[in-house]
Amino acid sequence: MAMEVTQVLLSAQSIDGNVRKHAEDSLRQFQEQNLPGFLVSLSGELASEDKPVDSRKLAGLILKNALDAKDENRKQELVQRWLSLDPVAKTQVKSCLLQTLSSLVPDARSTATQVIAKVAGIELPQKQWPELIGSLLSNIHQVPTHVKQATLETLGYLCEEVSPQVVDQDQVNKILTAVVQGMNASEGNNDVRLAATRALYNALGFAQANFSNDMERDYIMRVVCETTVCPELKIRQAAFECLVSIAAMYYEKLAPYIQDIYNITAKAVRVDEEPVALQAIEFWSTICDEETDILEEYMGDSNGDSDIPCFYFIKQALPALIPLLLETLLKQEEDQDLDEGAWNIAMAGGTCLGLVARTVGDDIVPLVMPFIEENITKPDWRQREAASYAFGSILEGPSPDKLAPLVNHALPFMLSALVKDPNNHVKDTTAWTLGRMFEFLHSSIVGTPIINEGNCQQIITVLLQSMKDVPNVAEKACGALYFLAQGYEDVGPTSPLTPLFQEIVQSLLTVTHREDATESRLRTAAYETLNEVVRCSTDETATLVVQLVSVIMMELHKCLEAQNLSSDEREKRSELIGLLCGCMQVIIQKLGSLDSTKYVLVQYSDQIMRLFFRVFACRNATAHEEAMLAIGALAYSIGQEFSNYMPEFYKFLEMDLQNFEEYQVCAVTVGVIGDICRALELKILPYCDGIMTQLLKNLSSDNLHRSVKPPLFSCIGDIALAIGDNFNKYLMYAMNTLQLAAEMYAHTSGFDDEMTGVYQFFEKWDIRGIFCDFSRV
Amino acid sequence: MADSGFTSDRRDPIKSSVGNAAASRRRQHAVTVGKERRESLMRAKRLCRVGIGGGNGEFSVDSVMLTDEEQSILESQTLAAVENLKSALAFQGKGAVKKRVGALQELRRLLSRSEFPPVESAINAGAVPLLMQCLSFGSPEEQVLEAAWCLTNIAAGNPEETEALLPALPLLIAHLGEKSYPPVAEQCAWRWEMWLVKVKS
Repeated sequence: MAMEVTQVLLSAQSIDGNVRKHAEDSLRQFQEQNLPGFLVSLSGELASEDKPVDSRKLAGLILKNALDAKDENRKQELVQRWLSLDPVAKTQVKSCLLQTLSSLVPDARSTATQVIAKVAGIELPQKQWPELIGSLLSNIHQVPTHVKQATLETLGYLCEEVSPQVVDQDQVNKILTAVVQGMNASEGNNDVRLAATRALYNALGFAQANFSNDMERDYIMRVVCETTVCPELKIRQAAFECLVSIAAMYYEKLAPYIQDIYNITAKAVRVDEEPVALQAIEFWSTICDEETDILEEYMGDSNGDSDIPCFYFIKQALPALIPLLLETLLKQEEDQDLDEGAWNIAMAGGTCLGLVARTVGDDIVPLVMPFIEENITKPDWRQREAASYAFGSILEGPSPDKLAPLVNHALPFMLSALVKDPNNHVKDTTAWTLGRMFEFLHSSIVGTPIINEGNCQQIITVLLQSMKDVPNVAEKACGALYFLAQGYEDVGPTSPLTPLFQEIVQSLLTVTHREDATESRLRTAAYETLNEVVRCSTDETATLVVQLVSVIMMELHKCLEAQNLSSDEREKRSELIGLLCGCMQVIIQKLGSLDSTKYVLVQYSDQIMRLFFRVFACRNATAHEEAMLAIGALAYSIGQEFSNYMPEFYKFLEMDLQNFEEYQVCAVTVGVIGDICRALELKILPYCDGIMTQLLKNLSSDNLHRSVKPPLFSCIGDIALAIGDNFNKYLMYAMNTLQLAAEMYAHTSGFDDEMTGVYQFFEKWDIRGIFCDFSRV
Repeated sequence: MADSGFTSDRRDPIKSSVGNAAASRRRQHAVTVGKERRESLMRAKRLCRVGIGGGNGEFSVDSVMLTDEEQSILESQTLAAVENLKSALAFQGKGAVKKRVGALQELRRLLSRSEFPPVESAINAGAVPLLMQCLSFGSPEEQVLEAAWCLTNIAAGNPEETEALLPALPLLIAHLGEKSYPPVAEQCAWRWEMWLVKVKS
């Protein structure tokens, strides 16, 4: 059955395009005509020691891709194909894979480990391949270290592919024993130790019973902790990753080890290399996450009970942990503010500090303030930046009563530093800290306002000036203004921002026109801040918002008119179109909510809709989604008048409802149909045949993302509400679909991932909607 | 499974751009506004139906705002109405159907009162199982209509209260899918039309 495939595999990697394509076609043809032979041939190639490594690697890769895919539907297809394959062929493939674990060629071994895990992921849940784990474990006792290494790697991948309930406890015990022994310092080979440590990371999810046994848990923890001091960097990093995972999975078992873990992590943070130090900090961030969840559960439950008790590790460690984290803040990198993907010790330390503040609240303040006071005026920019960063990091968690006096005291200094400090890093962080002050302490519910008649004008002036600074600083200043505006959201009929509204809007628009506005996400921040300023504005500034309509429409028009763009420019234009449509949505919503300004939307609606139709023609998903939301707001505001645009708009609705690939656009479109139903009521009737047909098709489709299904049901309800008795003609079709969903729900014994989509259908809001709509017909 | 090396997911840094979160928040807010409009529309439509029914021919407009005392009275009346429905369901003699329909209408009217109907009181008094009983197959159409209507009004309550309706959902759907549906819909349409006539006169 097997066929010689070496040459065709090598040709598939040829530099010559024609040779490569011909080889690829041959492989595809082989696969389609004789799948069993194809797979057996590939596995034979992978297993043959006398074959070239390149063809072996590619054979393994093609094998893996025959078993796994990112797309869930495609993956299930491949799984079923494998399960229904000739058993003799499957046995041969699996035998070759296991044989390859003994190969002297590292790349061949590594490829085989991954393919074995894929096959295990398919077969073990079906009670097939029961001898696999036993075979792997017997490899552990062989003398050659390369086989041991490959086997441990396979066990790790297997644990990643297979869920814990598929493997019985006896086998789990043996796997853990082998893995932990492989990690032991007595194991001389670093490759084996590394593979074992990584395997443990994946196997921890299987170790529930072992972590409940004191002796076994002690043994595992001792080996993990010892491995964190291994001379080899990668092994230390992997060991710390295990500690992080243990913190998340077995928080309630950590008490006996927490002191040792603190010592280990503190040393790693202070003296080890960055990849290890980052994981050491991550351990404490994870503990914060666990404790925050537990404490929230306490407060959420009226009984005050939680499944897991809180051990208050963070509170206990506070006096030692805080100095450690503050030290990290001084290890900034020069370019971290300009690199969006940056992640380093200082950033991790500050993030962890913020989590600690959320976890312990007021207790953190007296431990951090001395550091801030000491460093905020130092000549070295790193100390000033670290002080500001520390301040910003602890503003969420402690009570307003505790923080407000400190913020009031610091505010004048921060404002001064924002425009006068000679270092951009310091200004960047200062602006961010100001934003945090406004985010957490500036709102109508805070007793002692940090922004008052005395300083509001000055704050605005400073922020507007800072928005002229370099892009990353200006972007943070926009963020601060965003939260300042948000704090006035519930202020009532009069806002302190009213006299400043025009100046603020003008400044933000100026920022969006800067030559360097596309750097540091500055333009996005400026538009979103403008949106928030408009959204939170009072009726006093309604006439100014009316003027803004023309400005934004003109911007959108110019943007749509741009020609001869490079691909980079085209991408930036699409982003800008999305931002402008988002801005239009907020403005329409604001004007539509006031009787005194609703008429403006009726006046402008022709122009607005024409612009949006042109946006749709650009075929950009984000811009499309934003335009849809804006149209929903417009339809609601102008009501029956919207029927004028339905003939043309309907084409886009239909197109979007069929857009399964960009399912988020589809979901937004479904919501907009609801808005239009409420606006038009009976006037939606001419379009209902087409809409209902597509909605019902979507409901029965397996290709549409399940998160779109619940909104579809609600949309059908909206249509029923709008057209009343006319819904009769669709009722039976809708009922059949609803009946199927209800039956599926009734048969769900437990709540699991597979049922999430169906369960969402029964979420409270949708249930109410469906009951109301269908019962009423 | 990592094809190249070993990596773990990285945490979001605390110091991040406002743009990302702001855009998501704004879009979510737009969706939320749509849902709020939907709910207020349904409340408004439900209030319009106050007074429809075969029992009481009078059309009256109830005050939307209730004092605390009035709300308390409303809740007591709801409790009594549920008890009355329970008695009516146990009754097997002459005029049983009429008695049930009357009890259902009383409950339905109470559940249509005010911007904040006493849904919680009704649920706590055990209304949902009783209403499910009224939806049994073979039940008279008028009874089914009234029971479904009560469930509709309960469904319009707070999200937490809606959860109590889950057991009734399959039965209601199954029933509406039966052949008996057209007469039920017909009655609903007829009642709506009668109400319109009353308003015009």
